[in-house]
Amino acid sequence: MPETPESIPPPRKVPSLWNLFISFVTISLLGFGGTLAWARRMAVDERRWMSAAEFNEVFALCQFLPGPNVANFAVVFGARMRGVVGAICTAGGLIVPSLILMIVLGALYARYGEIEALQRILGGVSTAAAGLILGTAARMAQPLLQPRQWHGPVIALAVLVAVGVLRIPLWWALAILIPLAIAVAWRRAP
Amino acid sequence: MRLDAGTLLAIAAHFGLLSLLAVGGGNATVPEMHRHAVEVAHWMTDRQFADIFAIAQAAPGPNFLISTLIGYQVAGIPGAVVATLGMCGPSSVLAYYVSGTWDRFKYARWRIATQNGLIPVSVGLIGASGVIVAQAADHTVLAYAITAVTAVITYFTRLNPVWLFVAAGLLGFAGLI
Repeated sequence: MPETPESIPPPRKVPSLWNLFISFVTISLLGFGGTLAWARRMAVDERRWMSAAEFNEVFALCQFLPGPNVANFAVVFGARMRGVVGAICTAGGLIVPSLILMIVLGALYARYGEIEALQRILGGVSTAAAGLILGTAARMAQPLLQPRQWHGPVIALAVLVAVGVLRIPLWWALAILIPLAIAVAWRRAP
Repeated sequence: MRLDAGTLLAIAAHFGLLSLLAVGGGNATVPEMHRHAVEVAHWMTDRQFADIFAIAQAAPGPNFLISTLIGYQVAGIPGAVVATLGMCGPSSVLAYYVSGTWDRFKYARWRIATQNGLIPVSVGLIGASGVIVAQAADHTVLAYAITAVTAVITYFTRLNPVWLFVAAGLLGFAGLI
């Protein structure tokens, strides 16, 4: 890939395995509301292990691939820095602390989840959590709304109705709608 | 809680499949997690699902950790570990192998078409997650109103969602929802 002038990297070092692990532990524990923003801050702005252009490219790949985006990012990033061992360090750093935290929270919920006051609090939080996801979806839908480009919104709406309202099993909906979506995009691709 | 090998295998199979179906990230699979956990396998009630979703969203860390909580609810710590590995394992292995060859197809038509085609699909899936969690969580007019207000604030501002969770939690605690 030819380097464009603006992507000429700042001085970069190859991070140690320990540094990779600790960076993703930090991302995992600080990452309120979307860990990927924190991942970008760490990789590009603070540690300068990646240029902004490089990050965007890896990010696009991680969104495209199935699976949790931030876990994909950890694996691809770790692999680019230090190969398969690097990928294990980054993925481990991302997953292990949150896994432990979730087990603790799960145990607390199993033990105290039926307490009435906690029920009311969780009931409130879940209404906001639903709104957060709906607002995020609306934000994501924004780039789809372009003049005379009806196909994007139509496909998004079809998926929403099929999976969210009609509650068709995910694999059935995707088996029909993904080929359709790709076929439409194929006809429009350069 | 069930701790037999069959249950753990069922958890691994469910989340392992979801890992590869998660077009658009972890939250895209929330509808299928709900369908399976509540309606098919009867691992939990609708309300418990909404609670667990709220905990996973409000806690720090990646959103896909709702799988950990579901696994824990079904089969304790082994269930939590199996669910988490199932959710990340298959997609991580795929990501590792694809990232090595991806640059080679940078300008290939199939890559551009696939990438563009999947964007509206993932938008639809995230929207579906919101609809399903709202239906599980909202039972009063005020609850629907809070969901709507949160959605509008999320759409128009960059306010840290923690504050929205705190506000909604307080309203809930006060018995208003």
